Amino acid sequence: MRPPQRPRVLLADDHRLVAEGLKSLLEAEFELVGVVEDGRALVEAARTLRPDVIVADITMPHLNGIDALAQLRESGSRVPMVFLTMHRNVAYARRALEAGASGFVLKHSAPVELVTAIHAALAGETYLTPALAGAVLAALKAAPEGPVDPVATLTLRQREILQLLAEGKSAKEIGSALQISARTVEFHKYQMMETLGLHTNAELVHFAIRHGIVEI
Amino acid sequence: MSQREDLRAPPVPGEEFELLAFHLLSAFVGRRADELDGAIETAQRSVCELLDLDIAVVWQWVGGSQRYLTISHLYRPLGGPPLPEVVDAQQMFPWVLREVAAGRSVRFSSLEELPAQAAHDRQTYEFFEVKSAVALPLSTGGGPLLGVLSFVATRAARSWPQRAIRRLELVARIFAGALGRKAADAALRESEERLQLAAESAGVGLWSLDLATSAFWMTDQARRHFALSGEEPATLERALSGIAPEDRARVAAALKESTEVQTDVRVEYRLSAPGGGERWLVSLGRARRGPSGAPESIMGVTSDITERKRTEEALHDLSRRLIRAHEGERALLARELHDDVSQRLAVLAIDVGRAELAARRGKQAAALREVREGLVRLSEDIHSLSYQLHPSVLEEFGLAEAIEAECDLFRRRFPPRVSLDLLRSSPMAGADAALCLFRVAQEALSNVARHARASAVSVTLRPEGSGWLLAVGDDGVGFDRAAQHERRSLGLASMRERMELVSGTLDIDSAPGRGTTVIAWVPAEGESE
Repeated sequence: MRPPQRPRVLLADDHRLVAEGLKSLLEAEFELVGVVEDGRALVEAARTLRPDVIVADITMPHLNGIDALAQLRESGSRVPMVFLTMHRNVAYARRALEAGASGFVLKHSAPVELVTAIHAALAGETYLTPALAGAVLAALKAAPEGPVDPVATLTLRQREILQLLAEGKSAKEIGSALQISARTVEFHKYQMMETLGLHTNAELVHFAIRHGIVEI
Repeated sequence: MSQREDLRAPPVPGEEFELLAFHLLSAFVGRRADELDGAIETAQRSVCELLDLDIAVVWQWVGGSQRYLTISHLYRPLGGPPLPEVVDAQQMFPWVLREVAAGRSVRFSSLEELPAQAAHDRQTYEFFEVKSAVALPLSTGGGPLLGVLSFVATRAARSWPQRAIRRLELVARIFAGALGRKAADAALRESEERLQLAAESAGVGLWSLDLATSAFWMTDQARRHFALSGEEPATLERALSGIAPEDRARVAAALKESTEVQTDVRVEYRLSAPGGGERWLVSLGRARRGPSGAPESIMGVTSDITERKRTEEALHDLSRRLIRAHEGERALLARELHDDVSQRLAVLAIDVGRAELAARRGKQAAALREVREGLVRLSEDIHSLSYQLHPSVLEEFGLAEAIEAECDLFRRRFPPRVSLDLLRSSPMAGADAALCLFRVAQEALSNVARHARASAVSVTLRPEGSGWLLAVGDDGVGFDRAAQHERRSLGLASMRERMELVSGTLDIDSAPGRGTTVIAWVPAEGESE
C-alpha cells in the first residue's frame, strides 16, 4: 500500500547552502515541490505548483517574503506560509504575522522547530518561535485600561507649560522663561493636546482651569 | 563781615538779578555739550555787567589734582597783568582754598577784611591789583569740587550783600552743572571712540535703529557690511534690500523678536554682493526700553562671517562624508555578517540538528545538542552585532518600524514603560535623514537607559511642517543643561552634528526633576547629494 500522500512544500531561500540543508531536513516528511531564490519567483511558483505550504526567508532579492505573501493573499491564495529567517527581531515577526503568516521560525532553530511549525501551519494554526513569543506578546499587550486622572497623564514639564499657556503667555515667552526653544514648547503643547484629546488652544486653557492647574 | 552799609552803590538790584538767573538757567537747559563753554562765557559777562564787576574767572582743577588750578573761562574786559596758566592754589590762595574746599563762599570788600591766616592770599591779590572779590565753590549740591568761580573788582572796593552772594552761589551751581555735563560728555565721546576703534579693528560694525523714527545709525564698518556707498543715507529698507531675498523674512522676524524678548537676538544671513557672489553676516541685536518698558530702539553689532561659513561648510562636507563612509562601512560589515556568516552558521546548526535527530538518544545526541545550542548562541550574538552595526529593518520596513524595533529592544532590557506614537503612513524621503533620526532615537533611548531613572518613555514620529519630527521624552531625573560637560557625555554633541548634516534641528529640553525631551526634526526632502 502507498503511504498517504505527503504534504507538498515550496521552499524559498536565496542562500543555496541553507536551502540544501533544509531540503534534507524536510524530505523525510514532506514532498519538496520546488526551491526558488527570490520573492517574485516565489509568487510565480506558488501559482503554478500549488503547494500545500510554503517555507520562505524574509530577506530575498526583488521582493521580500512578506511582500510576496501580501501579493499571494491579494490574488486570493490561502496557502499557509512559514517564515524561516535570520532576523531575531520582533518587528519582523509582527510584520510577518500581520501579513498573515502561519509561522515564524529562526533558521538556526530549524532542525527542532521547522517541522513542528509546518505541521501547525497545515493544521491551520500559527507557530511562533519561543525565542520571540514573549517579546511579541509584550508588544501586542495594550496599555493598561481604566479610568485615569487626565492630569496625572501629563508630565511635570507639560504641566508647567500648560500653566504658562493658560496664563496667556506665548510659546516664545514660555520658551524664554524656561530656557527652551519655542519649537520645544510647541512640541509639548501638541503632545498635551494629543494625550488629552483636545484640539484647540482654547480647549487646552479650559482644561487647565477646570483642573485647577491655573486659577482665574 | 558786617552788613551795615555798602561801600559802593548801588546795591544788588533784586529783580533784575532774578531775571538774569532765569535767563542763565534757560541758556543752559537743552544746550549741546559743545555749546556750554560759550554759554558760560556769556553768563560771566552778563553777571559782570549787571553787578558792575571787572573780572570773572572759572578755575578748574588740573587733571583732578585738587591743588593746581587753571583758568578755563575768563571775562576781563579791562585787561591787566598777564595771568599764569596754572597756579599752585596751596601756594597762592591757601586760605581761600581751605574755605572753598569746605563748601563755604569767600568774600571781602577790601583786602583789609581778610583774616590773618590769609596773608599769602592777600599778597597774591595785591599782586593782581584785586580790590574786592568773591570766590565760590564750583560744585553741584554735594558733588565733588570741580574748581572755583570768582568775581573780582579791580577799580574800587565794593560790598557783597548776603543776597548777592546767594545769587552768585546759584550761578556757581549752574556753571558746575554745565561743567559736569561737559566732562561726562567728553568721557562718553571718548568711550564711544574707543569702542568704535575696538569694533573697527575687530571688523565689527555697530548700529542702532530708532524704532520711532526708523533712523538707522551705523559705524563706517557697518556701512561697509551693508555695502552702503559714500553719503547714501542708512535706512532699514536699504539695509534689508541688500540681504539675500530668501533670508530677508528671517532678518525681519529677528528684528521683531528682539522687541518682544528680553534677551539678545542673533541672526545669520546672506548678503548678495553687488559683484555677484554672497557674503555671510551675523547680527546680534538687543532692544533698549524706555521707562514704560516699551522698546525704543534696537542696538546691535554685525560682523562678516563669510570665511567662517566657508570653513564650516568645508568641515560639514568633510563630516558628512566621514559619517557616510563610516555608516557605509558599518552597513557593509553588517550585511556581510548577516548574509554570509549567519547563514553559514545556520547551515551548520541545521546539519548538526539533523545529525542530532539521526543519533536519536544517547551520549552522542547529547553532545551534538550541546554543539547545536552553542551554534544558536553564537548565531544570535552575530545577529545582534550585525543589527547594532546597521539596522537592516530600516531599509526593509522604514524608519517607523526601525524605531519600533529599537523600542522593543529597549523594553526587553529596561524597566520604564515605553509608549509609542509612530505615524507610519508616508515614506521618509532621504536615507541619510532616516538613518540620522534613527541614530538620534537610539542615542536618546540609550541615554534614558543609562541616566534618566525614568518610569515612562514616549517616542513620537510624525510629519511636522515640511519634514519629520522625532521626539523621545522621559519623566526621569533630567539634567542641568548649563552643565556643559554633561552634554558631551550624553552624546548630544554627536546628535547635533548628525542633525546639522541633514539640515535638521535638534532641541533638547531638560531640567533637574523635569525629565528630558529630545526633539529632532529633518526636512522631508532629506539631504541626498
